[in-house]
Amino acid sequence: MIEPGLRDRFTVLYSSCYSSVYAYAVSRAGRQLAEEVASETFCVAWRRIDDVPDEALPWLLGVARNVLRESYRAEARRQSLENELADWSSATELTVRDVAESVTERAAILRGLAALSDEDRELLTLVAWHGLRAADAAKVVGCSTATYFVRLHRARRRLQRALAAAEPHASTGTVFSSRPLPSAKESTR
Amino acid sequence: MKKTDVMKSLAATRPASLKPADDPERLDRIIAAATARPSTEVGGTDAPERVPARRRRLLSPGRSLLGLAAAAAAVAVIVPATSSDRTISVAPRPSTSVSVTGEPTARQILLAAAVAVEKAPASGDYWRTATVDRWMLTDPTRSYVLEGGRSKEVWLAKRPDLRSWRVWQDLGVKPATPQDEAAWRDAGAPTSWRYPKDMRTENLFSVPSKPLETAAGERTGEQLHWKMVGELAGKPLTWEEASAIPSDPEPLRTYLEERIGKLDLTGSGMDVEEAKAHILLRNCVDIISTLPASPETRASAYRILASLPGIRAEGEMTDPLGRRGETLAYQEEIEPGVFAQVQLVVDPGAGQLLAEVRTNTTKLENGRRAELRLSTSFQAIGWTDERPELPVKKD
Repeated sequence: MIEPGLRDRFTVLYSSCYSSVYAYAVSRAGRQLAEEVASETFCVAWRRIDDVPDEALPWLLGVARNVLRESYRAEARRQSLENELADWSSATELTVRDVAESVTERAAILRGLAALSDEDRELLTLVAWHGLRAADAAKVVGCSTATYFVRLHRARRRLQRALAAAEPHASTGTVFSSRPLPSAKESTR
Repeated sequence: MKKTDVMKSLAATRPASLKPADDPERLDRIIAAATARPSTEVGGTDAPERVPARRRRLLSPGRSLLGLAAAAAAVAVIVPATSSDRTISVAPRPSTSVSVTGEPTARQILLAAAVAVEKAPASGDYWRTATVDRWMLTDPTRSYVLEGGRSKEVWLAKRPDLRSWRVWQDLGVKPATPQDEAAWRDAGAPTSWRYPKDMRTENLFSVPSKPLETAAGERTGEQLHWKMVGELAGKPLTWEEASAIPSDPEPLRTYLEERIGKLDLTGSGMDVEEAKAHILLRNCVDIISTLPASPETRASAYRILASLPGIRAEGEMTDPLGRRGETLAYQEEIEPGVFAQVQLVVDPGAGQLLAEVRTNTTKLENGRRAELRLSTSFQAIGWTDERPELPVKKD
C-alpha cells in the first residue's frame, strides 16, 4: 500500500540521513555489508515512517543496529569488519587522507581503535565519527545517558592505553594485533 | 599522544571509506524494494520482517555492491501452482476448498470483478481510499497474542481548489482471541506494553519502538502537499501519469513490464523473472486497491491477475470487517524454499477488493502455537463527491 505524501517524507529522510547510516554500517560491519545494511534500514524506515521521530538519526541507527544483530551471522560480520579495520590502517587509506595529522599518528589511532572491543569502538565512533550527542548515542545503544557517559569514559581510557602501548611501534608501521587488549575486556556495563 | 585530545584525534581520523558512493538510483531502488514487499507498516508490525533474514543473507562480497541485495532478497515471489505443496507457512484453509465442484475458479472470480469494476464512477471531486489495517504480535513475554489496528483515509483532490488529506486513527490494542484474553487476565490485564529493544521476534514482527496502548488514539489529519498520487514499481505517479496508464489489458501489461524491467533485481538471490512476476502481481493489486486509475484500467488489472498462474480460489470467507467475499490465495516465496500464503478477499459482484490477509504462526512461551495475522481491509476505493470529515487534531 503506497500512501501519497509518504515518498516526499521519505526522500527528505533519505537525503539527510543516508550517508550517516551508511557510515555507521561501515564502522560496525565493513563496506562489504554496509550498503545492504543501510538499504535494509531504510526499507524498515519506509514501512514504519509513522514511527520515525523528528530527530531521525538515532532512531535509524538503532534500526541499523537491529538489522545487523538480527540479520547477519556474527562470523560474517566479524570477517567483513576485520577487512575494513585492516583497510583503515593500510597505506592507501592513510595517504589518501593525509591532512593535518601526521600519517603515523592517524595510523596509530586507527590501529588502537581496531584493537578495542566491538562495544568500545561503537561507543567511541558514535560520538567521534557519526556526530551524535551522548544522549542520542545512548538511545542508539539502548542505555541511559549517564550509563553511556560512564561507558564512553572507560572506552576512551582503553583507547588511550592502546595508543600509549602502540607509541613505540607507531613509526615503524607495526600492525597491531586485532585481538582486543586485555584491558578491553573490562566490563563495559 | 596528548591524553585530553583522544576524542578530537579520533574525530579527525574518520576514514574516507565511511562515505557512501554517489548513486542517484539508490533511493528508487530502496523504495522499489520496500514496496515490492507486502507491508502493513503500522504499529511496529509488518509482514516483510517475518522473513527469517538470517538465512537469506549469506553473502558473497560482490552482492552487497548491488545495494538492493538485502531488500530484493525479500521480494516475495509467486510460485507456479505445482510447487504449492511446498507450503511451509501454516495458513488456515477454509474447509470449503478448491476442488469442490461448482465453486467458481479464481479466473472466473477475477473476470467477474473486472466486469463489475468497469461500472464504477470514472470521476469525482476526490479519489478516496479508506482502509483498516490490523496486525498481531505477541506481548513482550510471549505469553499471549495482541491485536492492534489503524484506520486510514486518503482523500486526493484533483481540482486545484480542493485540498488533499490523509486521516488516520490508531484503534487501540487488545488480546487477539478469547484464549489470549484469558492469558492476558492471568498476567494482570495490563493496558500498555513496553517492548525490550532487543526482543527476539523470529522476524515475525518488528519490535514496537513505542509502548503499545489499549486505548485508541485520536483521529488525526494531515494535509498532503505532494503532487504525486501513488507509485508503481517504485516510481511515483502524477495525476497525469496515473490517468495515462493504459486501459486495455495487453498495453497495460506491457506498460507495467517496461516499468518493472527498469528495476535492478539482480543480486536478490532470487530468480529475476520470478521476482518480476511477483511485482507485476503486486502492481495489479495496487491498481485495483489504491491508485486513481480509470475503471477500465482497474478492470484490466483484474484481467491480468486472472491470467497469472499461482492464484487459486479457496471459497467464501469473512473478511476482518465481517464482510463475505470470495477468497483468492497465492503464495509468496519469502526466501528460497519458504513460502507464506496471502489471501485476497474479493466481492466479484461489486468488483471490489475487500481485504488482503497474511497469516503466520508462532510458538508462545507455554508452547501453544498461535496465529499472527496481518490484514488490510478496504472500506472504500474510488471517486466520490463527498467531503472528508476532518478531525480537530491536525499534524
